Amino acid sequence: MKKQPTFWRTLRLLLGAARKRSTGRQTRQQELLSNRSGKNATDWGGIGFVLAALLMVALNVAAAFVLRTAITSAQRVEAERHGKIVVSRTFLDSMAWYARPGNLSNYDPFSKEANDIARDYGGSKPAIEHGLREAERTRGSEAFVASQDAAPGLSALATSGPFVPMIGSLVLLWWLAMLVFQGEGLELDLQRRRHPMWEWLFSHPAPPDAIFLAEMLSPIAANPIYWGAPLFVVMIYSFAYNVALGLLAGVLLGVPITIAAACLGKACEIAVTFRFAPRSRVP
Amino acid sequence: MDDKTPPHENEAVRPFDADPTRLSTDLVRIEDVTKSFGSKTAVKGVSFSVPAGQICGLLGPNGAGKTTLFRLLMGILKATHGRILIDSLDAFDDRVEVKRLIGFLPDEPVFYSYLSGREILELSAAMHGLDVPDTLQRMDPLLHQLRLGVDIYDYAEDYSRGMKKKLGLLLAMLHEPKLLVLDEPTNGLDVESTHLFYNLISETAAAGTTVLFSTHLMDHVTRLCSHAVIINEGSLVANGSLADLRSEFSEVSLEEIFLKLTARPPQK
Repeated sequence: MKKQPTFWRTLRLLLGAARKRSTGRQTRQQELLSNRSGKNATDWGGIGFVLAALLMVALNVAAAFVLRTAITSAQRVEAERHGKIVVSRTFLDSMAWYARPGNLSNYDPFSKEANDIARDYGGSKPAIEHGLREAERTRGSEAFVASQDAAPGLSALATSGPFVPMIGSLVLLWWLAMLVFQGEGLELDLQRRRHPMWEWLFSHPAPPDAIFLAEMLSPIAANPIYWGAPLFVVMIYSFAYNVALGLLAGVLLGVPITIAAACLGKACEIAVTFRFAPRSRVP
Repeated sequence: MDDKTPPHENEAVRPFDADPTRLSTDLVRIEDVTKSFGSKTAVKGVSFSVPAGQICGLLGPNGAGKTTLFRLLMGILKATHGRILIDSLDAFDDRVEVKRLIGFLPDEPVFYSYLSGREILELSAAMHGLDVPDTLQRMDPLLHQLRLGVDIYDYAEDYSRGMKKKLGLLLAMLHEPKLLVLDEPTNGLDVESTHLFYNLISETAAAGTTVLFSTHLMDHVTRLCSHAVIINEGSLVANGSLADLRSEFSEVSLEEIFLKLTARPPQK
């Protein structure tokens, strides 16, 4: 009995096929690995898939931490460009304490701070210590800024100088490019690279818009890296505001960005198919 | 084969009837169709019709516009001018409905590499809105007839060109279409597979399916077809029953007619 393939049924069928293809590619890789090693490679099956998905989640979370570190580093650089030396709050408090009359001690905050800076950011401890003492002698406490004030993180992005958003944008672009070019997986499906599937797909009495949408979303169905992508947005907004807002942003921004990245990747694949196909295609 | 003999040695194929009163039974009507891609015109004002239940051969040299014409028939491309009617439905405007009527075997069938032949059949059946287990059961004899019974569980990635053509034909016939459109179906096939293909096409036509196929093999057209259409550089140059073409062009063989109509001056 014939049933009209509806939009959602077609979408579900084609996304299911994308998932099956992904499993097929993994099976074939497993076979190739077994052939190469001459023994049966370990088949991790479902556990392997879960581990791969978790790895992809960890990758997106790690990317969020990279963005946060890049922002705080850029904020420190921005403060130093304005002639300030970024030091710890403890160092500033110690300097204030010593400045009070009658407070005397053998403790040397300059030596300790120079040691910490050299350990965290590199450089020669004696040179850093000399610089700190010289700055204190010539400009007093005005020469320094506490690290928490110099690099407040993502929440102060709007008030930071132009250098900080620029560095943040570069990291965001890196993450987006990584996501866009993931496609359906690492293994090249050579036939599909040479000939798009549309002719065959469009030979079915299914809604063309459902076929088109399924093709665009197939990277999400096939590649688990997209499933963890909204977590990147959740983390960024959690760093800047709080977890609740982070979760909301994950739904409102993370999911659409993930879909857009998959579509952009597919659009690039289509462009490559058109421009570089061995068959002559008249525009 | 003697070209003077009637073209329909295969009793299963009904002869073409050029009687104009049968116009109403035309399954395919192509009316003044032009398709341009930018400044290049691939199909120029082509008009012909294919009566229901016939086997029609579409002939033309490489680059004549055969594949473009098939893509227009399938509603994959929209004609720049003119229209194509399939069972009174517009091939582009009613393209979803039209695809219920057509089974299409492209020149180079391409499948998802990492789905098995069986999974591709299942997907296609589901996309036609068919009951998947029933359809696969119905296709089983055909599967064995085309000697794909064992290989159907392999990934399409591992299929030879011939196996892909066979799978493509199975997919084209899956939903029991009224019209089979086959773009160079035996191109690259071995002798045995070609024989299997044409037997199947004859049987399908005998069961009432209209078949429109392109080929470069004149003897296959002579042996199978009731009707032939010749296009050259996008334009229709001949159209009619094989007997009509022979008498019109005063030539004995279809090959001679073809060469006469598609002759091009040598390149300098």
